[in-house]
Amino acid sequence: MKSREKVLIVGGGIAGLTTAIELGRRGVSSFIIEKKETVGGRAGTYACKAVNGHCQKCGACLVQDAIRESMEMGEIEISVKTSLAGLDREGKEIVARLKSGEGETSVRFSALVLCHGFQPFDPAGKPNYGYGRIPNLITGAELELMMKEKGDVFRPSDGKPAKDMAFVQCVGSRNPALGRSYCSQVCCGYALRMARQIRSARPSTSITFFYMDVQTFGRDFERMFWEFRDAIYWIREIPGDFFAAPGDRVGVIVEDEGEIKEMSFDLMTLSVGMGPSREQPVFEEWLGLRQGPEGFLASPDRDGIFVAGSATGPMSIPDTIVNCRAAVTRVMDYLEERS
Amino acid sequence: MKYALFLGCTIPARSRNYELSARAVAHRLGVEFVDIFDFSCCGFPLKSSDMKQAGLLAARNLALAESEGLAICTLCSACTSMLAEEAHHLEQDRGLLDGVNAELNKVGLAYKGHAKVKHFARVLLEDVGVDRIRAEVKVDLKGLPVATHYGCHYLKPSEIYEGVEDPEDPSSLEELVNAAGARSVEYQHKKDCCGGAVLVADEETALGMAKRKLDHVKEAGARAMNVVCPFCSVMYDDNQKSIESQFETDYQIPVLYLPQILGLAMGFDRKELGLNMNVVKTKSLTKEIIGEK
Amino acid sequence: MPEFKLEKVSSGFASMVVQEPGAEGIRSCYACGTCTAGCPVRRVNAAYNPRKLIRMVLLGMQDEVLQGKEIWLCSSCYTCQERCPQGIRITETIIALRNLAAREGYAPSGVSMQAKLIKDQGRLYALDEFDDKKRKKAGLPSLPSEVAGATKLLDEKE
Repeated sequence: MKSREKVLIVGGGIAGLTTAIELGRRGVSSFIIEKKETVGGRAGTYACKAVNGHCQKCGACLVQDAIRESMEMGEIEISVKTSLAGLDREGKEIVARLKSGEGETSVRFSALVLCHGFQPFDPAGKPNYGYGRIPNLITGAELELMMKEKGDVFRPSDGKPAKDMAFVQCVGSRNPALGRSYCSQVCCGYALRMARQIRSARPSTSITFFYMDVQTFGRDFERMFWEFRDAIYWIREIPGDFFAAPGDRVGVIVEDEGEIKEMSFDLMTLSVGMGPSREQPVFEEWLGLRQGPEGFLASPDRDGIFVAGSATGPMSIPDTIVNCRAAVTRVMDYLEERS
Repeated sequence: MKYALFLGCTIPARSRNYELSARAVAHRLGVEFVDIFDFSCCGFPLKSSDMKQAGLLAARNLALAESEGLAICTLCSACTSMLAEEAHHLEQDRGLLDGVNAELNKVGLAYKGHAKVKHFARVLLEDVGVDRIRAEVKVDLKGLPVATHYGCHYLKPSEIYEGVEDPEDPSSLEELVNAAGARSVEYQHKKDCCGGAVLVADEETALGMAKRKLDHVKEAGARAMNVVCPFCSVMYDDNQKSIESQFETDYQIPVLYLPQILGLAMGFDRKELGLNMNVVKTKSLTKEIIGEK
Repeated sequence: MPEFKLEKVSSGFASMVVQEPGAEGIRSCYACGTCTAGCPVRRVNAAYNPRKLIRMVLLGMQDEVLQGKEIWLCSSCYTCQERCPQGIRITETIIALRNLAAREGYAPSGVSMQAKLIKDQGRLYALDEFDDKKRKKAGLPSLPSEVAGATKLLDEKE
């Protein structure tokens, strides 16, 4: 393997970092470009969900590990606040026009791996949730950020802790009417882990889950679910009406056990799913890439162009790592054939 | 701004106040209404028994308007949805259009597929504009608190209305009412249905649904309701007394059609707006606004 | 709500309903409950439950659905149809079920009566001289009492 081979990796999240690390372990250099100021991507904003020192296998620390390892590897070069002005194939090379504070440069690479990640579903896309109109109605991503930054959960309206909380599952997932038929695979997991953590920090908080099915992706998750199940009030319904209830509480109307009930909560979290990244159309255009059945990018795996991680579909942090490692074996095959 | 005015079944017979006030306001604002005397029932009440025949009736009405080169302006929300839905289906489904035309041809009509259907409130919003309405205000409504009932067919099914308004967060009718100088009040569950379509099958359920709305409207301190459909008016106006006696409640909330509210602000009198035809007495309300006229 | 009896099931019912315009998508229902939770009729009358109705259709409970009064309780407000995550046209499905029921003579009398009036007159309310006088007095144009063009059209169809 010629050490002159250099792979361009677009995106410095867990997918991009994993890809770079795996290539580095095989002696291949890579250049990560990340448009934000720091690496880690969205998963880098997730908090550790350990409960009383017990790991909940959420994967948040894997991101921190990857950041550390990528900094220590000589084969990996990272450029933050750098974005793309254009991508082209010229012969056997990828030509990238990079844009950063220092202006624009054109650089050539042997191969390209797009790891630009996903976009969480914006609940404004389903107006009956009332997201944006009802106070104390937040998304799972916002709850994650709150827990990471403040170490606790508060009602945005008055900064007070929530005495009762609810999670609504399948927001922007399993919804063909919105063009998102797939299950996002991570929401039951992240909501349950966050609920568990909140309960352990404040045991008096009552938590209700509005769900359709609990998708127990991941090897250990089902066991954890059964351990925690009784701490939650489960309602196997998705509410119809969402409205502002007195006291800045979130009100819903739901059919519970055959009865129509009006319920309200101090804080409600919409467990939003994963969707294609906003950057996707640009890559489709520049490289003639096609969408997979769920609307994400399908990895062409030819001509040195690869897509890996959640840019290809909804997946958890551990699944992203696996997906990128698999992609790297295909990248290596390509580089070997090429040389 | 010229439209074929579609009255449907209920308005010419039972809701002449809506017709009167709509014609008066339209005329003042420069909207010309043409009467096509061959218009029939839109088909809505026939849908439950036979949707194909209901669709045919709707298509016939669309063909009549199209042959005059006119867009249709409706006053009843159910008529709006029936006609707009049929127009939408015929636009999407070539086979359906051919089948419908085969029947229409038998009575000497043909539908090419270009009809446009708009509820009067949309015509006011889009063709006339809120600014013009504000400019026509001559009487101060003094921020009269009005609870707007959008009803269902004015907003849904949303796909036939070209995404003009979000059924989960509507605001158009309140904009119009506010432009006239009244003050729209928010009330609980304002999106709830009046229950009108259930009346023929189960009166108690229908009245129960109307009662819930009246309760919320009263709770919010509204002094009048604003409706844009005769079905809804029947539920809240005609049936208000029955609801009061059956459920032992008390409302005395006048139910006004949108053009009646706009008309009051524009200086029309009770007779011109058919206010004597409203069931829940409106005299004390209008006395406050326009005196004894 | 009626009890499910396996021996009474009509195995072709679901397939028949799915052929009706509007009801094509009902097999996608995953019983999330959004429809029933948003239904304004259900809040007042516990007998009406759109999610249960769809489930009954899929289970082949033909008699209970078509002969029952539940399908006539829908107010066609379209809230369920707007919100269904699977894009099922619930309101249109109820209308399709009503058509099937009406064909077999199970429509409530009020509904059949309205249908007959429209077929015979082209209007729900025939405008008689009394109505015409009232209209004239109010300054409103006269309208034909019945609409011959419409009745002719419906006659031709039959």
